[in-house]
Amino acid sequence: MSIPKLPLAHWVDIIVEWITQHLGAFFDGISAIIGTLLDIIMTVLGYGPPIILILLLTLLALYTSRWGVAIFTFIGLLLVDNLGLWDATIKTLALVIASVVITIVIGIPIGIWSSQNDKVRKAITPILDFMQTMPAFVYLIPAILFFGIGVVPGILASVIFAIPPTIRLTNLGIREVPKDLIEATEAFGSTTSQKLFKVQLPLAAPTILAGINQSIMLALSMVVFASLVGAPGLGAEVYRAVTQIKVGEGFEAGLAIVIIAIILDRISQNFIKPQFDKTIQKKWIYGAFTIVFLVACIFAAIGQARPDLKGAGNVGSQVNYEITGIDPGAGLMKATEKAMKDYQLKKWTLKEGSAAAMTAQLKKAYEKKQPIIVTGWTPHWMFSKYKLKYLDDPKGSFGKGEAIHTMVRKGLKEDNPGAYQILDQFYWKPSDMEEVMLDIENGAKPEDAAKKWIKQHADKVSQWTKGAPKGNGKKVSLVYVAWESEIASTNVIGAVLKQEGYNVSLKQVEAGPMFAGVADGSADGMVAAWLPTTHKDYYNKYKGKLVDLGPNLKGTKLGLTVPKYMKINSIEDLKK
Amino acid sequence: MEPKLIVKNVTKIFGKSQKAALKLLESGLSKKEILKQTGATVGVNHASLEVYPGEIFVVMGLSGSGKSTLIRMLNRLINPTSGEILIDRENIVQMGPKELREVRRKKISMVFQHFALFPHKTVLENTEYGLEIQKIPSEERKEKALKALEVVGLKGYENQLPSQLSGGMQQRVGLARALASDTDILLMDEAFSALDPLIRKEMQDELLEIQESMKKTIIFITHDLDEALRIGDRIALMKDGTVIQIGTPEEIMVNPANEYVERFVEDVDLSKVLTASHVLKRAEKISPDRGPRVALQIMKDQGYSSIFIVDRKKKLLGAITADDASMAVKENKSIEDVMKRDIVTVHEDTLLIDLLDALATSSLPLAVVDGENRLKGVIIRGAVIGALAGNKDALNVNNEKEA
Repeated sequence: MSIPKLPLAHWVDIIVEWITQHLGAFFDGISAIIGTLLDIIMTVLGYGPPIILILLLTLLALYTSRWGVAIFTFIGLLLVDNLGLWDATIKTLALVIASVVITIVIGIPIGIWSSQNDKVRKAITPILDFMQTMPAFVYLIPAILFFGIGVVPGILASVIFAIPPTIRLTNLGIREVPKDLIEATEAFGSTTSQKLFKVQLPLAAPTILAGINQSIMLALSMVVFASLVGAPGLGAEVYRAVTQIKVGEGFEAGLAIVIIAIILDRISQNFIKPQFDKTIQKKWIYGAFTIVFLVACIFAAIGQARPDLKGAGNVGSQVNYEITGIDPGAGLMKATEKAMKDYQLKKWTLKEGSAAAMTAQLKKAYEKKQPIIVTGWTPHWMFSKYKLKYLDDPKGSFGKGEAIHTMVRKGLKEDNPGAYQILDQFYWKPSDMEEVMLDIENGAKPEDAAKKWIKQHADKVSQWTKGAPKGNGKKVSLVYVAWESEIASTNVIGAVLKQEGYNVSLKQVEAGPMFAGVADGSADGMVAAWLPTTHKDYYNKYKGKLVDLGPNLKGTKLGLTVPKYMKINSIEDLKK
Repeated sequence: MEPKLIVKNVTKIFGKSQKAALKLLESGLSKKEILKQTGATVGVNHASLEVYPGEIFVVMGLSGSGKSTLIRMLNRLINPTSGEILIDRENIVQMGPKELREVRRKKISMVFQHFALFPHKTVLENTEYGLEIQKIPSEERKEKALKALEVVGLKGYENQLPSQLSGGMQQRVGLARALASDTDILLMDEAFSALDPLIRKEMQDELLEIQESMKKTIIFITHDLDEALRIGDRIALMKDGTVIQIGTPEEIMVNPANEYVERFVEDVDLSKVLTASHVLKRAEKISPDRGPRVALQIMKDQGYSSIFIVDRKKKLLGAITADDASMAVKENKSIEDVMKRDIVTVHEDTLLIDLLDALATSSLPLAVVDGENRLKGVIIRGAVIGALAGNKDALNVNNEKEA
C-alpha cells in the first residue's frame, strides 16, 4: 500500500508565487527602507580613516567591559585592517547592526505582547521554534523571490534567525517579575502602561539584554549564509574562499568574523552594567554615542539622497547600476568583471550570489517586466523558459563559446576501463541538454528526466556505450556543481552507467571541491568542467593531477543577458 | 457610626466551572465536596463584615483559610465571584478599570508580606510611587514622601536602595509608601510576618503609635493570634474561607463562637488579653469627711484590712489601712491626716500581664481607675490568679463595673 506523496512543496510554491505577484509593491517598499537604512549605516561606519572607528569601538569596549577587552578590540581591529578586510568588516558590522535594530524594533514589542497575553504566547512559541530550527537556507529562497538578491534578503533572513531569543527573553523577563511587585503596582492604581514602563521593563532589562546579546551573535552567524544571496562583507569573503578552496584567505576572513563576534559579545553583555558606571554615568556615554551616530546618519542620508536626482531614465538608473551575477569566483564572474573594465562601466557593480539566486531574481523581474541584467550562459533552461537575449559583445570580453569537458582521476583507465570508456565517449549537443534541463525545471526529478531522455535517445546512448564492458557492480563516483546544466548531464551519464551495471554515486559540491575531488582521487570523474573560461582558475591549478577527456558538449556561450523586452542590444549601451 | 468598608456576602471561587460551583455552594455543599464534584476551589465563602473608620480590624486565620484572598478582594487585586464590597457606600465590584484605579489611588493602599519594594528604585522613589503614577508634581510628591518616611523613622535613608536595608527597615518603606498616598484605608497583608519576633513587636508598637495620630482604617491580616490580640480593635476569625466569628479580642477569648475558635484560643496567654476590667471587684470606699471611726467600722464589718478614700465625684484620693484608722481614732486625727496618697493605680484597660508586677509588690490592693481618676474597682490577687487559670467564674463577663 502506498499513499501518494503530498504535494507540499508545490503548495508552498503556489503560496510564494501568489505573494510575489500580489504583494510586490509592499516588498519593494520594505526592500527600499532596509536598503536605505543599511546604506546609511555603512556610510557612517565607513566614514573617515579606519582608526577613528577603531578608537571609538575601543573606548566603548573600555567603558563597558575592562582594559582586557579594550586592548583586544584595539589590536583585533588593527589586525583586521591590516589583513585588508576593513571594508568587508564595515559591511558585516552594518549588516549586523541593521539586523539587530530591526530585531529589537520588532522583537521587543512582540515579546511584551506575548508576556501580557497567554494566547499570544501560545501562538508565538511554535512559530519561534519553527524559525529557529528551520534551516536558515530555506528562508533565503522566498526571501530572494520577495526581495531580490543582495543585502535585503540577507538581513531579513538574519532577522528571522536572530529574533527568537529577543522575543523569548523579553517575554520571560517580564513574566519573571515577582508577583508581589505586580500586585504592588496594581494596588497603587497603576495603568497597564505605567506598570509596564515603571516596573516590568526596568526589572526585565537584564534578561531582555541577554536576549539581544544572543540575537547579535545569531545575526553575525547568519552573515556567512546571507552572502549566498549576495550580501557583501566578511561572509562573502568566506564564501569566495570556500568556492575557490583558498584555505588561507578563508582563515583570515573567518578570523575577522571571530574577532568581531568577541567584541560585539563583550560590549553587549556588559551594556547594562558598564564597568566604569561609577566614574561616568552610562546615560552620558550612551547618549553621546547615540547623538554622534544619529548626526552622522542624518548627514549620510542627505548625501545619499542627492545622486538619485540625476541620470534618471537611462538603463543604469533603472537597474540601479547593478548586474546580477552568480557565485563569486566563477569564471563567468571574472569574465563579467573584465567586460566591465573593457567597456569602462565604472558606475556599475556586479552583485555576487549564486546561480539559483540569479534565476530567482530574473524570474521576479521578468514577471513584472522590469529591467534586469544578469550574467547568463548557454545551455541554460532560462533561455527556453523566458524570452532572453545576449547583449552584443563587440570587444569580445566574454571570449568565444566554451566547451564542457569530461575529466577523470588519474588511474581510472586502469582501475575501471569500462566506466572510463563510457565517460570518454559521452558527447551530446546543447539542445539535448536543454531538453533534460527544462524537464527538471518543470518539476521532474533529475533521475526521472534523465531516464526519460535516455529512453527517447537510445541511438545516441548506444554510441556512448559502444564497446565498453558491463559494470558488474563496479563502483563509479561522479561529482558535479549544482548548476542546472551539470545536474542534467551528470544525471544522464549516471543513469547510463547504472544501466550498464555500474554502481554509481553522484555527489553535489561547489566548483572548487569538484576539481579538488577528482584531482585527489576521492571522486572518479565529472562531466562539468567549463573551459577555457569559466573554470579556468581551477583547471590551471589542478591541470597536472587529472585527466582531461575532452569536451562532452560544445557551443556554450557566456554573456550579459537581458529579457527581450528591454531595448538595449549591446554592452556598449550600458555606458549611456 | 457609619462603616467605612462593608463586605456583603462575598464569595471567591477559583478554577473552572465557577458558576456551577457557586450554585452548589448556595445549596450548602462543603468546600471539599465542591472540589470533588467540579474541580473548583472555594477561596472565600459568603464573607460579610463591616469595618468602622479609625479601627484596626484584624482578619485572623491559618494558611488556606482565605484571609489573603479576602484582603485582595477589598482592592480587587482578586475579583470576587459574587457579593458586594462597599467603600464609602460605593460598590467597587461594579467599577470599571478607570474608577477602580481612582479608588486604589485615593482611598485604599496596601502593605505586603514580603514588602514588594521595587528593587531598582531608591527608598524615596519607592515611597513616591503611589503619587508618581497619579502624576503629582515632583516637588509635592517628594515633600509628601519625605513626611511619610519621617513618620516611619527612616529620615536620612531616602537615597538608599531597598537591598541596602534590613527587613524591618524595608517594611517601614512599605508602610511609608502606603502612608504617602494618604488614603483612609490601609490594607496590611501579613505585614509583619516576615520579620523576626523582636522587630515584629517593635513594628506593632509603632503601628499602634502611628494609628494613634493618623486614625486610619486598617485591615490587618495575620495568622498569629498574639499579634491579632495585641493590635486588633476587632478580630474576624476565618476558617476554610468562612468568617466564623467577629468580635473584640475579649469577646473572642471569653465567648468563643464554636469549638474551633475555642481550640484556637485555648493556648493563648490570657494575661495578654484580659484587662483589669475583667477581674476588678467592687471596691469599698468612703469619703474623707466621714471620719476614721466610720472607716474602721466598715472595714471591721466587711473584713477588709484597708479602704479607699474618694471625694464626692468618686475621684480617688488615697487609701487607709485598719491600723492607720485606729491610730487616727486614738490620736483624734482626720482621715486626710493619716491616709496613704501614693497608692498604686491601674487603668481599667490595662492588660493583666502589665499589672502583675504592681500586684506582687504593692501592700494594698490595686485600685482601678478610669481616665478621670475615678475609682472603678479593686483588683485582688485571688481573682487574677483565677482568671489566668482559665476559670471563667472569675471573670466579669458582662463587663460589670461599678456604676
